[in-house]
Amino acid sequence: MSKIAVVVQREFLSTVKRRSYLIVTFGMPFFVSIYMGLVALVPAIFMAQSGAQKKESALVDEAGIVHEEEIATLDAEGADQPMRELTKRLGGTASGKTAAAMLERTAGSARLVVYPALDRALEALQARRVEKVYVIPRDYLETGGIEAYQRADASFGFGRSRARESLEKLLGRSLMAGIVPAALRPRIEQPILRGATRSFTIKDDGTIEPLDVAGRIARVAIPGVFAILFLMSVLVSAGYLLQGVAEEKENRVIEVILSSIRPDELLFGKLLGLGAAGLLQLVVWISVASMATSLLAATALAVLDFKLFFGCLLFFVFGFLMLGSLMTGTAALGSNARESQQLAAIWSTMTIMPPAFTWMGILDAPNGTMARVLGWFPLTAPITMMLRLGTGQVPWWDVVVAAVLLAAGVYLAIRISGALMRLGLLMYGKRPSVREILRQLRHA
Amino acid sequence: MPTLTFSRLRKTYATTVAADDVSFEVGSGEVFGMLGPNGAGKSTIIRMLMDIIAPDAGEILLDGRPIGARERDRIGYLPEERGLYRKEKVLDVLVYFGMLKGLGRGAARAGAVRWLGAFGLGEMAGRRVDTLSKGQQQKVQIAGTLLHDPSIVVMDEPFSGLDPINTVFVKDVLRERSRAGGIVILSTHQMPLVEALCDRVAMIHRGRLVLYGNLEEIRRSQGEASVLVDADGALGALPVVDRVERHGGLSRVFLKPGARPRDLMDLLVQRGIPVEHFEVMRTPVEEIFVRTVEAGGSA
Repeated sequence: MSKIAVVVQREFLSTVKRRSYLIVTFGMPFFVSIYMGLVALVPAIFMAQSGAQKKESALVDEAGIVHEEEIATLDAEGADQPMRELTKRLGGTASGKTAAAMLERTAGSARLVVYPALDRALEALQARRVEKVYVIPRDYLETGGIEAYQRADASFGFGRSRARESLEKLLGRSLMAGIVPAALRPRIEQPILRGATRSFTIKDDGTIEPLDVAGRIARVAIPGVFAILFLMSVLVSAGYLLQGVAEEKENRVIEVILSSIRPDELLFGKLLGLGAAGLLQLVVWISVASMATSLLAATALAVLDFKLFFGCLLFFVFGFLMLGSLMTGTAALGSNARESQQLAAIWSTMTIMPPAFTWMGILDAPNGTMARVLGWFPLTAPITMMLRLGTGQVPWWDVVVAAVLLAAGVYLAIRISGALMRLGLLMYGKRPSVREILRQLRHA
Repeated sequence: MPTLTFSRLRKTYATTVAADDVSFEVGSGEVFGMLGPNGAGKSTIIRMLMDIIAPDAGEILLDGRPIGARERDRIGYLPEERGLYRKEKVLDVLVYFGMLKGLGRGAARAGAVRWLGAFGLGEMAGRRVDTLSKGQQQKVQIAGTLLHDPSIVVMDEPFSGLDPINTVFVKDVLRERSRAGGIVILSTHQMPLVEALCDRVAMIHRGRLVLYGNLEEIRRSQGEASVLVDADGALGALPVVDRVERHGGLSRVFLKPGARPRDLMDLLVQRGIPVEHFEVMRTPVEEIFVRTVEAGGSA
């Protein structure tokens, strides 16, 4: 077994077997889901209750245009179609069902009740029997204005705006009644129905194909999932790397190790071993949390666009190796764990910040100067290239240049960090001077 | 039969010179002592041998060839700044050390078990390192240095923290290694151990090699002749005597240059001075050490 493999094996196993690792890995999703459940459920329950209580609005039709039979059909089909669609989409998972049921309670609640006169309606409003009073004035047809009354203590909520939507629909239908044939009415209300719409793409050679919606989502989802995984795994594994380095320095075990293996080999082995441990933790978190479905979806989408998938994977792995080694090498210079962490944070900031500020520009012009510069510069390459690859517009040679530059960056980072480790780890309790660092780098 | 050659080694740090044109050789079958006060540059030279630090100039050769990774795997190194993974099992740590030296898992395990047994720590193999006493940890550390059966053993202060019984044991192990044709390099402050173990020594002071060679020869060339005597009478007045110091209940008689202990004995017999004790003293290495350092390393 090569020495690197020995280090990989040891770092992985010794981390994974740690009690703290097990607690964090398996406990975290449990606590987070309880917490998220509380945070999401409690307000939703209150909202649902308030929605259920204040469900009716009064309607006073002074203009005499409202057809009351339309109110009945409105109630029957439910006030708002978009909300219904949303609840239908949420229906899949267990948590989705809960949310859908809650939405149903609030959604179906916006009812309009016709009152013969304004004073009666206002009485009902004061007595809290209705939530709001709408008046269609005599000059409505000329002005298009209505009057709305609410109590001074009325709160802001979903129920009211839905009542307003129902009112608009009711007025539209009442105005059409008897004039517009029934077959035309749905089209006037909703000229374009999304479900019945089809889209196509035309290729360079003129062939026309139905638009591949799944593929389009994949183009956004694969780089998105990779970018998030990249950030999370760097943060998680960096924690273990820094902890490991600080521990070996503190234990004084490092000199024994460095007498048997070159520092860059040690670093590389640690990166792979701890990276695997960090990734395993992520996988557990993601699969235990209900995000499993989205990950599975991303994997399924990977089948749809394997080139994009492997492109992202390449930049993920290289990016992880470079950032991890730089962070570890720099951390070795710190004289205690906190200092190490601060020093290491320089690199993660340099990797994440530029693409985080410019991602819209990168997506807009994936082959523009800014996107290319950030894509070719090894530190910003991982995230930038994931974003650029997602647009599907980057020429292959451009990707190869970025990958080669990043690979060179990885090589350099490991060599430099190995030298820094050798220097930093043997200096117990003090930080080396800039001059000493430069000398050591020249030696590397 | 391997020979280690340290040739014109030089290493400077920002403000200090840790090694200044240091050259010496260590042959197989000997226990070689590296002496010197704290910060003299001993550890720097050893670290250069282990490729932990690169020399600014000079080289270290094994049988005339530069030392590569494979040769380094034949070295067992016990650094001064040493430690173990505290939260892991003793056996796991030792197996890891062995595998880093190129052993397979099985061989590393066998070596670890054998050495733990030799140190009387066989039952501790499954225990966590931090449950062991300091002396036990030190023994585990030495086991880790030896478990891959190295032909070159380099130990920096191996006896610190060891009880007398284990000190004897480690001394025997080192002697046995050198007898079997290995090279043993020992860096220590404990002069009695140097006297008991080392055939040849190198003394480093402020990065420079100030004494180097066979221990007995150094003693002869550097030491003053002195005799421990228990006798009545004014010893200081005798013509061969330079000065007399109290040494426990005895007198330590320093002879004038050129005078031999036998001359003193003859005089005592001639003058009829009753003698209860007469012992020729070999100059303690410690004395040579202190004198050389005090003289600024110009010996």
